[in-house]
Amino acid sequence: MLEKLLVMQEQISKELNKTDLPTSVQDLRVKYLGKKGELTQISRSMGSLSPEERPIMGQKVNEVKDTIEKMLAEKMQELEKALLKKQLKKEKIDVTLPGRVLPMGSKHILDTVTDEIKKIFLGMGYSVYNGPQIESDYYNFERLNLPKDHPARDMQDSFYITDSVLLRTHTSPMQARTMDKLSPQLPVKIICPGTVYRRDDDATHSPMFHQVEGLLVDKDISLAHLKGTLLSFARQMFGEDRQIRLRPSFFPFTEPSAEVDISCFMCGGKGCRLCKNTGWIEILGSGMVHPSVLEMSGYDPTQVTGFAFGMGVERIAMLKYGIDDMRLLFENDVCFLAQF
Amino acid sequence: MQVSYRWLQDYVDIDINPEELAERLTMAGLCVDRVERPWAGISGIVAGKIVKLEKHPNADKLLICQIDMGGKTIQVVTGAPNVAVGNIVPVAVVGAKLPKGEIIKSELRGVESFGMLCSMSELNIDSSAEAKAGIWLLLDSIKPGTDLVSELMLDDAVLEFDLTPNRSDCLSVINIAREVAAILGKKVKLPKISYLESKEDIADTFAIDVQNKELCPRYTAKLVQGVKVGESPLWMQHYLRSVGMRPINNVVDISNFVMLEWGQPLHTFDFDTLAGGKIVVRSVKPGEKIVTLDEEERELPQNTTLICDGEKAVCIAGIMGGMNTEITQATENILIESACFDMTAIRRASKALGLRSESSQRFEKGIDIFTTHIASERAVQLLVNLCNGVATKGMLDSWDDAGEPYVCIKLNSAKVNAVLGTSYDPAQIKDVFERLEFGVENQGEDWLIKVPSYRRDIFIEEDLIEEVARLLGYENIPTALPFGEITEGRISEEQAFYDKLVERCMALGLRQVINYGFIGPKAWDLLGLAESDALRKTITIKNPLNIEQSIMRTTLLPGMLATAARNNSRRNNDLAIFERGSVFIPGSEELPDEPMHLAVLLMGRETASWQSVGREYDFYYLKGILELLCKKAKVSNWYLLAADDISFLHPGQGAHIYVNYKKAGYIGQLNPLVGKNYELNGRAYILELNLDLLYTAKSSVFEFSPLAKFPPSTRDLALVAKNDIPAVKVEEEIKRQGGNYLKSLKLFDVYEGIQLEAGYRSLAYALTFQALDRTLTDEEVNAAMEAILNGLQDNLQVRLR
Ligand SMILES: [Zn+2]
Repeated sequence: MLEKLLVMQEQISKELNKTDLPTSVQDLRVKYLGKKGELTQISRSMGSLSPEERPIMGQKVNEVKDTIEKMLAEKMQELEKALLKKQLKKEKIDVTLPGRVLPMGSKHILDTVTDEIKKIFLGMGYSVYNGPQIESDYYNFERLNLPKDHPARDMQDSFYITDSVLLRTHTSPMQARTMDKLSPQLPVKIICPGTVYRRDDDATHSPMFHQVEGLLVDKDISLAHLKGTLLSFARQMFGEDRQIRLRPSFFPFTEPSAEVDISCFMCGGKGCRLCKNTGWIEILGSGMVHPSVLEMSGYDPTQVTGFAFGMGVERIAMLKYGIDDMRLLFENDVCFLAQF
Repeated sequence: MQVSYRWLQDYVDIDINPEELAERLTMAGLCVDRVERPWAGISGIVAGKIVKLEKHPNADKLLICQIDMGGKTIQVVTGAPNVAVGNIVPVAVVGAKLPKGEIIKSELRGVESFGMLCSMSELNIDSSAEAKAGIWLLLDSIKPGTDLVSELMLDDAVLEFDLTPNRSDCLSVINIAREVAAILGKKVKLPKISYLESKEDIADTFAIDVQNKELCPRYTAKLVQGVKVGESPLWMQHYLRSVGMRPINNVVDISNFVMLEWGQPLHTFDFDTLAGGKIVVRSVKPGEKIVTLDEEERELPQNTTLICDGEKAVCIAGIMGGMNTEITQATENILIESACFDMTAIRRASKALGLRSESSQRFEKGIDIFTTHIASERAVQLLVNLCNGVATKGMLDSWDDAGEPYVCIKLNSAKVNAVLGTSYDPAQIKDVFERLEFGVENQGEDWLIKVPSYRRDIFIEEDLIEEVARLLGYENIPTALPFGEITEGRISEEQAFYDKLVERCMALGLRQVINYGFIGPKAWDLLGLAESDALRKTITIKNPLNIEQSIMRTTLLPGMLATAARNNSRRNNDLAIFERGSVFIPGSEELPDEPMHLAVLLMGRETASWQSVGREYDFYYLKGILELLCKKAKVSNWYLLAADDISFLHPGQGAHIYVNYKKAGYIGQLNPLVGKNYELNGRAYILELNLDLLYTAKSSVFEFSPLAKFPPSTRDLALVAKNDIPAVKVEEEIKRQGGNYLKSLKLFDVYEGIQLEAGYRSLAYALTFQALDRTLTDEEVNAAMEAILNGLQDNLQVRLR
């Protein structure tokens, strides 16, 4: 009987070697280990053995059974591995083909730049206020120290709705509107992004454009604070090694007034096409809030001072991204939009 | 304003070059845009006298000139038609450099030529046809051999200013020179004005009558007799040309020169054409006309100020003179008007007439009333010296109110430093005003600053502080950060809400566009809006640039469609774009309502790749976007009501969007007819939503749903329903009947076709039941399903398929 078992084991080993299909392995299992399998037959015949022989033989049968199971399992694993290998080989792809095109949105460059400006000033403790695009002459001009027939009104050619209502020509009316709302609270520390309109249309002017106004009113605010604040802004917006330069200028609602230049970020100040060889690029207008503006807004100019500034979003976007024609910003060509 | 560098040097010693000067002026607040050197590089131009002229033996049109160059005579061949023996002409000698090139010795048809006679245009002095037509014949008084490069000041430079409106005082060369002097720390040298006068007094024979002192605060008249009209000296011609004016004759040139020098416009009348022995300054009478110097007859608008003689109008005050009293070659006696007119009146009249002159520009911005008589006397001096005129004694002057020629303003040095953030020494500050020639008086702790009348931009202490800042240099202002209370930067909840939706749009693959706030009224017809449609009620711009930008939008749609069309015309046919922007709704208030809107437009398909053509956009794609936007906005109370009455939408694929039971927008396929009107290349899907309404409907609490620990039971439900039962009704019924454990339902198939009775469709839902605290039993789920089916059957006649 023992001999029979060993022969059988030998037999299976031989048959397994010849097998190369998982189903054949299954067949072998049935043939030897199944209910009617050879091993089962052998163990059934153990009844004819003596009670002394029986446990020894039983152990032997189990050993052989385990060995066969192991052989079958190993073969099975080996075959499966080979099969998977074959399949994976077939699944080879060209990894250099382009990836799937996923739907991808984009923010308009002007909103992106406005957001950047907002973020910088929010970080410096300024709150964001918004106001109407259709504005009264009163807020757009008079409250900014620009009475009717003031020659400086010529600086801003306006679109009129009626004699007393117009499309705001700047975001500066928000200075007066916000101070009206907050007075006598201090500090007034705000920025006001918004759409503005002027009667101009060419490669460097659009009849509609965007500005961000800034205002800080408090005790003991000086021109030096304005300079420090704008230097911090310029560095965050255009790079850490930027310098700024203030030039005297004129706005009816600030006194003293200053035009602000940053050192050219293309050439670093050596002079290039972007900065017209001056090393400087004009980015915004600013100044100390005019006492009359403070007074009209309910603040006592002998007790508080303030600074204000206003910048053109288009100008900053065009500078920063090297866009040479303002009209591109409003054509909304998706090939343009997709670049940002 | 343009100024010649050499001209400035007449009044102040400038020891830096024009470019440096420009930089210094710019940094002190007088912005110089450009420094031009129109004659740079011209050399070798010498005055010569033509002593002999003969015809060229071999060429009809050429002349051979013998020219006295001041000691030596040279031969020049010329083709110019206008030269004669005795003329003084500019000669470019061999080796001379002109804009066109270098002059070399040449031979013209066998005759040698040692130079070239020049026209004004060849010297870059005047490019008019008249100047090109012939050789420049110079004044006889110029000696042969004179170096014309220096005499004509061809080495000069011109500074081009971009003046801020407050500094209109710098429309005067002297006032610019005052600035230069203050910047460089020099003294300004004003011209010394003196002349002899005849014995007779103008007041004996002539009078002025100013009828409205408000329109004309000051009028002066001065008479110069026996003037010889002719050409101006070269220096004056050069100065005028350098600032862009053409010399006319000495009298007109002097009046222009003095205006440029002092900023006070003058007018000169041919005295003998003035009738009635007087000048009357009055307002225009209805229907009055005048022929101005430019030979145009002009109807005069109401409220124009007129200068008249005893009989007729002779000048539009401050704007332009009349032909009838113009200076001509025959004029001998000249009446000089130097006056001060009301700036607003001149501005309005000039605007109404559509006529702007050098004179009106200065009056509009305001001039210094204390300079008025000085300018007149300066003109007299020049007429006497350059035109052989004789000044008549006395000046007629309507002004009797000669106050002090300065304004007093208090200044405190501590305040200066507080406003600027500087620590300037009081002596430094005082020095600024001394350089500016402002008076400085001590008054206790403060100074009393006397601001001269020509500085019409200084009214208050802050204006003086700016003078200190700019003359001590903005570059010397220190850099500091405000040290006040720490503030927290805030953004309004509403703004944050809008921003969030913009972010969501981008996450959904949409590209943001920005369209103009104004549109053209044609849009309403392109959209097929009824005449009575509320969208047509717009705010209209009184002075638009063009009709396409003449009304304020009441909807974002026209801008979106124009953008789509522009993209289509550039072969961008697949579009997924959005805009967030205000629209303008007129109401009863002075200012309109400006609600914030959001619009989305889809056209074509998602971007294709080599693996697949992109998904085609359709109504449900767009609705999917709307659903996700509302979800992001935390708005649950919204729904669509199908509508076939929105003119610009497909009648079968359009709906109103309701938020909180209020109409808040629309969604649908663009009516293909409208698409055609806009020349779109395909079907478009569009939605527009009032974000302000959406904002008011948003829930402010976030409700977190705990994650279930017990397994869900799912059931599929295939239903058959009549076609005209909206899916939303079926859904509502399922939810109503499904009980608390119905956690979600999801439509996964819609079928219409041969397997169903006509007029019916099948809707298949996947239902999920789940309890938080235990596993549901089959019986519980079955009971819920039964309730659902009964409800559907009873209420909607919808049955199981
Ligand atoms: Zn540069």
